[in-house]
Amino acid sequence: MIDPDLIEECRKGNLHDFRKLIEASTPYAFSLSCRMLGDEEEAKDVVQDTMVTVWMKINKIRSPEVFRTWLYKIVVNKCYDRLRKRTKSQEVRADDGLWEKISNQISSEQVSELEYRETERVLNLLTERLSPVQKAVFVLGELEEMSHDEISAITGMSRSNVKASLWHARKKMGEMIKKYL
Amino acid sequence: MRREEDKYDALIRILRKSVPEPVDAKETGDKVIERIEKIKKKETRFVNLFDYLFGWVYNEWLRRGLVAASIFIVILFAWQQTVILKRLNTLGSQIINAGEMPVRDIPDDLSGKLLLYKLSGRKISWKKIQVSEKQLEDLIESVNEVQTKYENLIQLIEDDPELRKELEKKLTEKNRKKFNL
Repeated sequence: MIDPDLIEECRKGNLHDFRKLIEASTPYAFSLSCRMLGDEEEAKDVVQDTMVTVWMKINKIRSPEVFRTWLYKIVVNKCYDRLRKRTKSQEVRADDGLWEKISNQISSEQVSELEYRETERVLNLLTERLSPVQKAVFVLGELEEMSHDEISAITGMSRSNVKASLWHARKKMGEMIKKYL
Repeated sequence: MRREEDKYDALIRILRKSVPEPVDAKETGDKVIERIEKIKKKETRFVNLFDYLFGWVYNEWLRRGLVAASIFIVILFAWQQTVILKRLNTLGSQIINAGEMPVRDIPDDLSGKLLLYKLSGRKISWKKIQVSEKQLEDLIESVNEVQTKYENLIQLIEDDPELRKELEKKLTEKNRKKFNL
């Protein structure tokens, strides 16, 4: 939770406090952008762009309480832009060894974490058939574990649309799992 | 089906656990602050240029003068428009009969009257051209004279073949010239 006073100070134009705000909110923004884009370097750029936008528009937020949602909204929009610019040729292929490793982990029922590079490849492959919107809903709902209301506030979609997008995303993911695992 | 769902849940748990390596928030902060400073510098440069070009508008007496001048220009414009409208209305009320000017002086002699009748395209009423009995007698006499002269001329031409030939030649030349034109 980010201190509302810190946000208030930033709204007054205090650059020193804004640095503190960047340090506090970067992990959230980076995690989301990394999961959406599946590319750490691109995610870092998105975080920087997001923070510059936050500085320029921080006066527009109604109250400090909505800051986190607003921050996620900016990140998601920046990720949309980048995902739309991507060409189909940038598809990623995961090697058989990685699928075997995941299969073993799933069957052993002992969930351990993958190296993040491996996670990036798995995510990119499983979500390649999802539209940017479905991908955003999937990452926010399934990986960031947000409620439908929070996703609705971030993406600007209605609650029923969020549910529908999540259902489609799960269906497509299920097909991919069936294909690879 | 159950197995597919289990696989999906297990995979999501793995992906949730695999978080990206935390990005250096301090480094991100430095880069963002640097970008903000650059934007601020640009903005300051623009404001300075704007002040240099249009700073004079902040002079109180100059502003009042400009307001007075603008009011004067608006009044002048309104006055000019009124004058132009008035003149247009005056001109609109004047009837112009170009080409249909009344003929005041009708010549006394018959040939003048006939010429006027011919030139006017037979638009002048006969009532305006009054012909006396003597003028009518003169006209008949001159027509008879012309008729006699014409008959004499025809006789003369028929009697002299050379003259006839010469005349025919002249007429042919004249017709050719007309045709060429």
